Amino acid sequence: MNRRGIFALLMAVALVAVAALLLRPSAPPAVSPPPLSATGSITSVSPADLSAERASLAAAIQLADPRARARALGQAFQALLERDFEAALLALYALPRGGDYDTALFLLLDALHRRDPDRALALARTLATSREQAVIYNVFFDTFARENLATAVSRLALVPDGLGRENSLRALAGVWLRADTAAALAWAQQLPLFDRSPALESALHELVRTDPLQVIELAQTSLTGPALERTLFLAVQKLTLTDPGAAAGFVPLMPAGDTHTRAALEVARALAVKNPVAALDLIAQLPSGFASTLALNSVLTSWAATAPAAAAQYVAALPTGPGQDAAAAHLAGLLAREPANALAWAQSLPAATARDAALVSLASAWAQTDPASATRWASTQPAGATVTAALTGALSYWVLSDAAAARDFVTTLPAATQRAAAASIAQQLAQRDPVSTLAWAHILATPAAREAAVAAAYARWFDNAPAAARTWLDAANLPSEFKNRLRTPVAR
Amino acid sequence: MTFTRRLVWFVLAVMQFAASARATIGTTLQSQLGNPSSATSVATATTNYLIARPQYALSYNNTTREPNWVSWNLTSADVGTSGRSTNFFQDTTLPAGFYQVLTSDYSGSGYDRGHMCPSGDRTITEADNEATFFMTNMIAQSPDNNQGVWANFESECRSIAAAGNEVLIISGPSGYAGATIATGVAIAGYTWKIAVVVPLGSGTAVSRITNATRVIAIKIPNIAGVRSTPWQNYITTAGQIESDTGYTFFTELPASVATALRAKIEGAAPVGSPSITTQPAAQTAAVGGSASFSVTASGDATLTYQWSHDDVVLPSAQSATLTLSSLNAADTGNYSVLVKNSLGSATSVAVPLTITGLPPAIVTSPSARTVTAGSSATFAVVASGSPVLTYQWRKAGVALIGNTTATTAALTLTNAQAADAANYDVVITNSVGSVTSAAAPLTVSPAAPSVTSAPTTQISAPGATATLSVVASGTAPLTYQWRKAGAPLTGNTSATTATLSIPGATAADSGSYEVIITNALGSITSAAIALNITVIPPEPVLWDFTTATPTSGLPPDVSGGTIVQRNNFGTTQTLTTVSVSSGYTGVSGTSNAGAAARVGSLNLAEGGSAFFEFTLTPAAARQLSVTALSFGARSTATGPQSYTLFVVNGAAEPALIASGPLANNSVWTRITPSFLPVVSDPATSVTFRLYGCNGTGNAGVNTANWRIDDLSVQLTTGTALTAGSTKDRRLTNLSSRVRTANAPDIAIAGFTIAGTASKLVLIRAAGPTLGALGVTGTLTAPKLELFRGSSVIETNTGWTTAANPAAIAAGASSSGAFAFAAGSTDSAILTTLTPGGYTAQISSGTGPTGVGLIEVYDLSTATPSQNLVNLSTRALAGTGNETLISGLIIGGTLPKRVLIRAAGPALAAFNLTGVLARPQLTLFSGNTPIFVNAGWSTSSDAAAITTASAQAGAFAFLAGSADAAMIVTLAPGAYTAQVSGVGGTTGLALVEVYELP
Repeated sequence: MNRRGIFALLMAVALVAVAALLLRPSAPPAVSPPPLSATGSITSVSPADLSAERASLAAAIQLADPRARARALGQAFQALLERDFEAALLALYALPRGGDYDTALFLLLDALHRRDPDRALALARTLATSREQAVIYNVFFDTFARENLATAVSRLALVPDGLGRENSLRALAGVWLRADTAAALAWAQQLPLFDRSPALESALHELVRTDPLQVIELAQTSLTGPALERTLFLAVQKLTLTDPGAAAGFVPLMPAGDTHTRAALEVARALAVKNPVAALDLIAQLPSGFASTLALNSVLTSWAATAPAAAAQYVAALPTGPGQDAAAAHLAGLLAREPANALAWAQSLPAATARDAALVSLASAWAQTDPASATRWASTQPAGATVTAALTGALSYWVLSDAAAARDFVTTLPAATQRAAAASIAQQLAQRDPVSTLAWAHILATPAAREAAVAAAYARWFDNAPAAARTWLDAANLPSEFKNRLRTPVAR
Repeated sequence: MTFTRRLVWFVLAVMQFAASARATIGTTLQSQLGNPSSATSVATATTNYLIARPQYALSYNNTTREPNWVSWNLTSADVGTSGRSTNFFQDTTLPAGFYQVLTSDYSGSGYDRGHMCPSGDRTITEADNEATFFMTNMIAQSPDNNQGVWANFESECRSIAAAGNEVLIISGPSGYAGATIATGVAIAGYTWKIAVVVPLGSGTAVSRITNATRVIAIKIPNIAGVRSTPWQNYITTAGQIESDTGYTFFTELPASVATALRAKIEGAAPVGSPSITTQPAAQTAAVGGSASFSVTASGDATLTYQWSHDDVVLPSAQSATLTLSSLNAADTGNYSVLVKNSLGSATSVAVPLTITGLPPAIVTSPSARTVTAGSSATFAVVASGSPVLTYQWRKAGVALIGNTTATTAALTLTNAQAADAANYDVVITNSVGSVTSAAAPLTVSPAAPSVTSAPTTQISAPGATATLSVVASGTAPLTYQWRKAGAPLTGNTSATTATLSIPGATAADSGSYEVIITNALGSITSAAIALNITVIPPEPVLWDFTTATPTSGLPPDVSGGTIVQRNNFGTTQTLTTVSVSSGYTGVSGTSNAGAAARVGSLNLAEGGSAFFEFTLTPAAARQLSVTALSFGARSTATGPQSYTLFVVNGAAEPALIASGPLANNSVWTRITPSFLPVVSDPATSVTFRLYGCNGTGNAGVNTANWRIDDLSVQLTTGTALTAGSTKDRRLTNLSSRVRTANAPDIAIAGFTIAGTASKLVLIRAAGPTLGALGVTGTLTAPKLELFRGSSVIETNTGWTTAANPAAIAAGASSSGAFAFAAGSTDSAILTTLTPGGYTAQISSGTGPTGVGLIEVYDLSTATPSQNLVNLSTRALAGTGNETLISGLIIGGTLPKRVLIRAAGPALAAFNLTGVLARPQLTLFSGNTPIFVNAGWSTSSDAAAITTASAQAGAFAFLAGSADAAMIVTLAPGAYTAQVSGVGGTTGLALVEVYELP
């Protein structure tokens, strides 16, 4: 036997040995488990008694359906766990890393932490290292804190830095704050820097339910970065629910940025429910631009529900420009509950840009409840970019509710509007039935519409199933030049 | 993606298509992204039954009794003012054969009825809101999940919608591990949600989704403890949720778009956005020179650069390299660069530019200071410049020398006085140049003394130097006067300084001390503090009852200590059993030793009585002395009623040294027996046995009806006595208080000087001075005669008449004897005697009968083979004040083994009459009787007494005589041996003390 043969034989022997180790019922774990507890509090029975549980576990792992596998594995592992903890621990080590392992690990540590907290923490330290696994620390410290806060705090020393520690601190802080607000805050504030932020943030998230103003004050002095932004926004949200006036007073004091803008939107909308004027005053304090545009839309959302005429009058009186265009479009959608009145208002807007924006928006909003009427109305308007946008927008809703009717309607459209309409619905139709869509596209009377619809349907089909699409194209009765165009990525 | 970028997209949408936040109620609108599980509305689809409502669509699972998934659309217009329904609803629209979950099915489960499509997303009308309260829209959700992080993300979605977006949402449970609540509703391991954020625009949201569309996918554990965790901690991908559930999302999207969306991670930079591959580096350059910062970044299309200096944008710095020239001080600071393209941006780290060659410049000048005399004054300066700056402070233009702070940025003048008042400035220098600060004046106000740091209570060992200190401030000069008990200390030169030193402190130095500090403006007296000169005991030896061995306090020259227990059943073993000391707050508190005691009295025979035992062994040439022992004890109702403590010292028989009761109440009690110090022979083991006696029940083999814990032993060790180290332990004095008259009722003290060299001794007969000490009926003119054999070798009747009264006084002082009053008629003889036996006789002389004190002191420096080995006093032993009292002092540093005898009947053999018929000998340490004997032959040491008497040269007691004796080992210190008559009888007695080897 030459050297290569000897090597192959050795490899085969090694593989057989490895397989034997892996398959034997009581195979030792690939990773040595931590020392067992000295308390003897965990049940243990003869390995021979566990064959049924082990078989169930092995069968569960073989299931392909993730939902069925999770359920079967959970039940099998739980059964093993209840029979023999140490055997379950060994079985855990043998599981491949992933969702199944995480599920088993969670079950094991969840069971253990109530009986032997220190061992559970020791095991978690070595086993619960990923983000998904580290959630067990939430459970640990929720339990520990409910049992004895002082003991829970002392057990933090057993938790390594990282997400597990963050989870521990958050769970502990949450429970503590519900039990004793002042003590929890005092504890959180004296923690070292890296522990303080999650603990304090969690404590403040509990406190925000009862005292958002105090939370704002504490957050500004004790938190930074994302934790500060999250907490401030949450506090403003809560404060807005009970005292939007107070929240409005706070918004201008917030540092500029996303949180400030979102807070302004929340407060503006809440104010507008009872006092649109106050809401508009708040918007006036915001820097002009996107934030104020969005805030105005928020106000209009509330205002249109209670006083649509006043809101419509306000928008019509806004200075012309992008701000009015955005407001007109937004309000038109809100007024679409009464399409005729909404149409009349939109068409009365003096600024063409605002009018077009309102009509396009109205068509889509109207189409949500009556796509046929909205589409037909759009198709009657003079052709142009506005109508194209209105028509294709309304059609997209009609396809959702009645694809066949929408498709049939497009075949009736005049050439000026049919191309854009056909192309837009062809994509939607081809998503579910490309063959029928392409067949329909072929019967369109207008060549431009026909070609656009075929191209759109083929592009979607090629995206979803390129091989089938190519097969169809190769066999399609289409001009070669067109087929070549369809084959190029640009055309698709 | 930042909120600002999303806003840009929104406005672009407004410009192109017009955006509106229209409410998205409608059956066709709720599953625009597709049907993830291909659910159908046929009754046979029991685990995947499609329910499509205007408010949401869902797939229901009759096995889990929960939805598989719920899908809905959300815009800001969906949020109205209807409020929240107060009722949940059983879903009666389910096909026949389906279990309709009752609204009460979750009661008592510990789980919430958790909405999938939130109530808050459907508040345009009450009907819309109520639709979300069908039980088919609920899953069993942990309260912390549902009311905390899950609710926060629901709110986040509404906030996103409010910011001009249409949000397509799918949510559901996953990770079922088989658990259910009591009514069969399954408990999921996770709750998940996918939110596809589409800026508002014309047409359906699904028609506007592209590869760039924002997707937020979260997967939250359905557990306790996550209430206040940010939802951002649970961000995942839609692809991961597909893997977990087996569903396929985004089936209504082109495959390429769906693929892109499945992989999206909220908050992650889009592919192709800028990424900095090489950060700029810190730079150092000379003033007037130039410096360059460079960055390397990758990203799609054209990258733009914008440099900033200390967060201020440099308008012209818009390339990958920033070059600065003609550098000056203003260029110092941190530089960073923002790299952007159409997909995003990245900001580099900020790195410093250090300009070298900058001359010193004063940023903050020192300012004027006004302080009171004696306090500290600090001047500080802040300066810039590079390279390194050096400082030199000046007083009135003259550099300050000798003050270590004078060459730093902050000058501190301690104990400022009027002489320090001046203008101070600082010269700051580096290699480029120097600058001098403006002068700042120091004003020093006069001040009376004040105590800055008061003296504190001190505990010091005898013989050591005791030190008391005070720190005071105020206008100089300050004077000090220490006082003890309110009286100024004299004769100690340190008593007028800030630190009082008392070398060789003795107990007499203990007391209350204070110090008066004075200057021209007044004085102040410190608070009185205590100085306590006392022996500081070493740390006790403590045991760990888990291992049965000492854990602390055991000197390195002592070994052993392992506790063994012996029960009543003949077994002896090292402590192995451990039980919890429930309710005991002792030192260890967790483990103890237990043994079983039977009915019956103490029986020292093997197996006769349960006991605990430990042995301590000093190292070679070392001895140990155990002066105290304590332990925690707990005896049950059937346990022993008393304890005894025995010692086995070397080869000697076990000796009882203490005993006491045990309360049979199962309550832990600390017991501290009183006993004489136990002293070992050199390198000889000492074993302590603690017996439990008189149990009231018959304990079994494995029972433990009494326990001990928290054993503590006070232990000292020392060098073993050798032939050349008599100074370490010796008898130095015998004194006897006696009632005496003239012959034959005189008192006689005998003593023996061993060895070959002469010894200086002081012999005193005190009478009048005793009266001054409170003793009544004292001799008024005692006569002292010193005999060798029958020859008088020296006589004295008034110490001041002796030839050497000054030496007598000095000898008394050096030996610690109380001083005789000047001119008193007390008598004394100071003489040097050759080895041999002597007697000193005291009689009433010319005065009446009375009480006197006869004393013999060894004043010599101990030398080998020269020792005062025996002291004895023969006198009348009476009662009350007439009790024969002998004092003895063990000198040196080590315990001494001695034989003490009280002879009465034995004196008759010497033709003495009126002897004490039955003496009782009691040995006291302080006021505490520590040993008593009233008949030597009844002592357990009778054989040893016989042997020791013979070795010491003492006459033998007759067998069975009523004379008293004891052999004891005494630690260094003072003791008294009292001889009285049993039954109040009186008579002539001889008390003797013999040094034993």
